[in-house]
Amino acid sequence: MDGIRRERERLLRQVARAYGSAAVIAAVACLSVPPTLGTTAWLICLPLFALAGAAVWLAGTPLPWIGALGTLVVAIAIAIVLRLVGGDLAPADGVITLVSLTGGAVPAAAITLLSTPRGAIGFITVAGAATTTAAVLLQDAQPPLVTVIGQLFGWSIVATLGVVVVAAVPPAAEQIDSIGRAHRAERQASELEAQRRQGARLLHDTVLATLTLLAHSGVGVNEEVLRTQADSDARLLRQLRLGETPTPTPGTPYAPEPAEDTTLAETLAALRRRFGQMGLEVSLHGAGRVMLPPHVLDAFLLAVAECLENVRRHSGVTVAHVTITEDDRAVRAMVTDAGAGFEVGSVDDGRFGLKESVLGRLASVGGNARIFSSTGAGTTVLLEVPR
Amino acid sequence: MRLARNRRRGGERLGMPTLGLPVLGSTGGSTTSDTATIDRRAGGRRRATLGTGRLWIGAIAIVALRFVYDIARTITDWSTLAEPMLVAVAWTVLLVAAGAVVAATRALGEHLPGWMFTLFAISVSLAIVLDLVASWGSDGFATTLTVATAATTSILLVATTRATWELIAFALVATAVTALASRWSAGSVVPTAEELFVLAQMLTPTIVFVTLVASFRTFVQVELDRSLVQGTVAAPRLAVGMLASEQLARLDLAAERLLSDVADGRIPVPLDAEQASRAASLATELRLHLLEGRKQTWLYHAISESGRLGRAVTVADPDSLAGLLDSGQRDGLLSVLWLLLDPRADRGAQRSVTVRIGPMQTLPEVTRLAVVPIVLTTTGVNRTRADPAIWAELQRIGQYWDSAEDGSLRLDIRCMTSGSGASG
Repeated sequence: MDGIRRERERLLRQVARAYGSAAVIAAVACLSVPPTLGTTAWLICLPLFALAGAAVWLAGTPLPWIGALGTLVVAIAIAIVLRLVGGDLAPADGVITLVSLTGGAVPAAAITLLSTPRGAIGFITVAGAATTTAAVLLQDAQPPLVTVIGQLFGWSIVATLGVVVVAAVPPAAEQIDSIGRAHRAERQASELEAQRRQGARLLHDTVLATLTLLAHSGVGVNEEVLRTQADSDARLLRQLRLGETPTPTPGTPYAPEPAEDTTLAETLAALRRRFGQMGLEVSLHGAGRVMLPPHVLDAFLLAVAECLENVRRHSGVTVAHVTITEDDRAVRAMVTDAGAGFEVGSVDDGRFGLKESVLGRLASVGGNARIFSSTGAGTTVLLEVPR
Repeated sequence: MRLARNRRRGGERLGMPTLGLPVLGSTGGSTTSDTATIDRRAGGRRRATLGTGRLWIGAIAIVALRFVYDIARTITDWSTLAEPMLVAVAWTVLLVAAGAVVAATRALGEHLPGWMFTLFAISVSLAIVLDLVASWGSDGFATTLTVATAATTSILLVATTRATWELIAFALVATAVTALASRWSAGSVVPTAEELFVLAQMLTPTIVFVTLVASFRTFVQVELDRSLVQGTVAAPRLAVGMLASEQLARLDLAAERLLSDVADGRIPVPLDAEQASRAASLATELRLHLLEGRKQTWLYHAISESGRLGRAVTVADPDSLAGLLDSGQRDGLLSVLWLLLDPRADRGAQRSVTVRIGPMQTLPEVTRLAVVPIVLTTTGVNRTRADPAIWAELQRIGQYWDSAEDGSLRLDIRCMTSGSGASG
């Protein structure tokens, strides 16, 4: 609620200053064109106009009363100077100068009063005082009724501006607030949704396996079996989409015989394309027919991608080599570059970029990573996961 | 510190094989966020923003006041008018145009198409010209004008539905034409006081109101943007964010369609090369989306989802330490960023902030507490002109020191954390 008040006062201040200074400038201008009331009166009035401008500016401070009453007092002072030194208020420019001040600058200075009900009463009081003053000062120049109507008109315009600000800000702020609340709820829901989808690992594992078969055009698998599996996967995904958390029946063996599982080679090729687009040429060696359980594969790929990202960003060379080797126990990837290198001892693991989530994940599947590098001699990272 | 950039948006579209990995660790690891589109969703050509309805009612009230005043003047001066019929026609044109524009705006739900605005502007201009012609050659030209003042003010009827510059341009042109006509009619260069007063009355309320509407729109945009990302202060230490979770849902849907097409035989087995490669890239995308490493801190999400912060804030947080801040500290940090970048504070100045977080320092003697240093370097922020509310917000984050770097504010904050973050 504090924000609403601040905003309301900021807008009121803006209106007060813009409208008030325009009125003061108009008053000065009107007094400056012929027929003038005489140079002396004009010169005496100039500092008073500066004072009026300052008083209008004060309206924006926590002292709106001083601004409003100050402007009114300055207007009266100007009228007195015009009458005493200029001799007469009757020439039109004197009248207009005064009307512009009491019906433009004074209401503008008083506008910030409108932000509270008590202030609004103050605003009306000042309006009455200013109108009466103008009517009295101008009684020789024009009928009081004309003055009063003109003044009321000027005050009504400014009052409308003020009321608009006071009335428009709180509902807008409330609406923004409720949009924010709705958005927070949406954010939470979306977080949960992402977690739920990520949590459906088992489901995704079979979906991924089927997609991998399809990526090989379904060659080497019984067509009918493949269709049935695709159907069951699509149904599970549909359930997931509709908000359920389906789990593939545990114990049921994955129906299609996995073809030669070359998922690793496939994904590494995708990786190579991606880094190729970013300017790092990756040459793959020996990424043959490697089969890995999906969660091991994920951790392994993430680590390889990580290493390549580091090569791309820090090595200063545009070529990296990834060599995949395997034996009965483990699959290894060697990521090599002939770039800048660094002193292994000077940079701890976290800084090197194998963030704990990656290293941790590699460790969680029983793997590990070793880094060999020295300045100027390139870098080799050896990643290993068990089969 | 060299700041690496990681552009992510393009790579995350479906069908382009990508690892889409966030920049992880490493010296100078940082993320420059792309701005999300949330704040522009409601954009388009519509000018009315939330809450401008009351401004519009205010505009109608001001125009109505002006109309009543000027019609009253016309009636009192009727007998002295040189061309009363022209004035009457001008008033008719103006009143019909004003009524039509109010009705149209209402009917179209606070919206006014360009052609209607053009039509309105032409009608109002016609009314002004008729009034100028009617007063031509009369003594005290400006004081006999009645329709012109009302007509210029009537442009406020579209203040909430049209762009600021259109209205300001209209008011300036109308006032300038009136001033020129007045001088031409009188045959002298020096204006009279009455004339200046009339011109001021034409211009001032219009310009003030139009700029008020502009400020109000800025207020709504800033607050809306702020409100939308405020939810991140309650986020867990690392989260996937709204954009990533949408993408996962989209991938799942694409996989579902492909699989059901295969199941129904719409796609023949064996698959052709195109379908096979679609399946391959889907599998790759999906696999990578399911990796844990995609998570980011609340600060990253807040900045990437905000149109304003996204443009001006760079974050270097290689160890994701922002996630350790509790919700009060997060709120404080976010508020400081907002205050530093508030477009209302210093018009025209190009401001930007770089946030560097870490490395974490553990306190040996105090268990379970750690110090996370945060450094905010800015450009274009003058210390003396910074919003005073910044200092109170900074205290919510931790102990701070302010200094100047390259003529702009620099803040060093020592933030104490429990090491577990807002919600674990």
